[in-house]
Amino acid sequence: MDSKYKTRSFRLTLLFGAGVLALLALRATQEAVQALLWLGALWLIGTATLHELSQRWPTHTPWQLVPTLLLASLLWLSPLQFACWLWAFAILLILPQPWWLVTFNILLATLSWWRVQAYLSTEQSMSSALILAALMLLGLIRSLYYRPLWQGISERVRLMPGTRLWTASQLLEDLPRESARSDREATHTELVLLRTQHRYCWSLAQALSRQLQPFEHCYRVDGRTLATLLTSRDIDHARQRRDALLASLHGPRRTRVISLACPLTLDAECEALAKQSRDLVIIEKVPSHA
Amino acid sequence: MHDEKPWPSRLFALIYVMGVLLMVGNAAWHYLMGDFLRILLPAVLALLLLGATLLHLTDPRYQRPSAYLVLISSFLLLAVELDQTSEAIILWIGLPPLLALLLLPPSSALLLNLLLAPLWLVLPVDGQVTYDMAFTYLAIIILGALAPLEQRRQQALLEATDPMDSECQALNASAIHELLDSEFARATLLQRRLSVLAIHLPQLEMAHEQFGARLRLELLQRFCSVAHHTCRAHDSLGRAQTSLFWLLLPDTGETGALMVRNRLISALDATVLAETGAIASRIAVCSPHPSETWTTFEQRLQIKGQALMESTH
Repeated sequence: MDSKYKTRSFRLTLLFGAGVLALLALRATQEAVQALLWLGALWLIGTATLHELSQRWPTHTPWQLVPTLLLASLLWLSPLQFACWLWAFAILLILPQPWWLVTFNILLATLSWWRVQAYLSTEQSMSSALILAALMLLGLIRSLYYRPLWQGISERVRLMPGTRLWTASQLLEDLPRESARSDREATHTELVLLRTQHRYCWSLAQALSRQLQPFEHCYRVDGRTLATLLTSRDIDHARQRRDALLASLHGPRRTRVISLACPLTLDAECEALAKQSRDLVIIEKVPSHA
Repeated sequence: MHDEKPWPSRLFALIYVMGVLLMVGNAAWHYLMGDFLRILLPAVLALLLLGATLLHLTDPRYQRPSAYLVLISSFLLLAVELDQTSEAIILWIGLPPLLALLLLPPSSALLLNLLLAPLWLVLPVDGQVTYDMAFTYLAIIILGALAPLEQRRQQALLEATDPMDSECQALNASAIHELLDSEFARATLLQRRLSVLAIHLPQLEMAHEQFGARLRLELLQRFCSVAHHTCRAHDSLGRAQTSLFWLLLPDTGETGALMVRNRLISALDATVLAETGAIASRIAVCSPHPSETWTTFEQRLQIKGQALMESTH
């Protein structure tokens, strides 16, 4: 599974990068530079180890800020030693990132160039500015090409390859479909919403996935709320399955179970779940055809 | 496959033109300085870059050769310039690896950079390159490759989580297997019926051999749209093998499935492609027997599909 997502070579490069940074840190004379290089090495090691974690939920934190700031501050502190890193601003731009970050990146690149050009002759500083601008444009164009991909990542419906864990947008699609299907097939389907604390969310999702049947899925509504659609033969079967499911889950949580036979919207139910005072609320309505 | 998707060509050409202008500017600078011997190289390289620009514009397939042309010309100029200046070496030796990373895929860029690293470090005159410089240089080669690698990883992740086939509007093989598994479990637990149509398109291979990839794609897409129009919203179409499709019909018995089969065959007969005529299809119906297990059912389905594919040869 690892090699399929090119994680191994990526992780190896991360660790190599961290090693080289540590080496540079050992040789650095300025204390501030040393600290920054160690910081960079630690960040790379952290990224390499927490890699799996970042695959679980799509993150929207602007982590691209870290390398940009590190690069800019190193160039500011020791422009002569790190002059050859100036061009790396262009490569940082190829990562798709929010537009404010792109602007910030360009600003920092200009600032760093200003710092470096103090040591250059006029013609060299002019030509380096032009080349840097061209390279950054090249980087931006490449990021434009990958932007749809990046948006696809944050909007992908399945959160992790190989698991039955899906996004809220998929739940919104599945809700009307399952409700229509249970009507037609005369089965009983209910929406189960589980609200827990942030840190229990992942383990709860795993436990939930283990308990579900192959045709049922676990959805992540937000950072603390999980959902599933429980499909059973009839209402007695549903009660039996629901009790078994809830008994097998551990950890603090609030649960809300609503039969799909009731008219419902996901937003309203999530709000009701957040406000409900009891730990377990079950809204059952015997379907009209039963 | 996606790696080869053409980059926005005109914007790239713009960058290449900027490169040409920089080269011309370099030549003009030498002319103004009265350094006539050094005009020739940038002038020739400017022409080479212009050639690369045109190459890039004419056909997106040539983006790799044109990228190499750009790399060669800028490396040459940089090497000559580095050989003759003693100032700010450290700044300029950082340029070639970054340029390679921006223009080439990450793995080949990394390889090229590592191979050329000794050259760039030896080139500047009289021992200006210190150990510190070499390490800084090594660091930028490795760290620079992280950004394109991260991009590639994201792409791989997206592809791995995308259940659709890359060529047509059907689920891919792993997704349809997974769905069949789940539908089977659902049918068993809820005591509902389930039927699967195994559909073989015998023309697919022939269309590719005789008329090329375009017709093959058209055939696939026409078939998928016909199949989607024929079946109900909750039926799902998936591509189990290159020319073998599965159509899952939940809550449908064998007779219902036969009706769907006949509807599909007549709809496909009415779909005519200019080159091959009507879309030919061989369709078998497979429903699980009562108390049949998942593995035997899947085996039976596989065997039926295989038989369909072999009967046409």
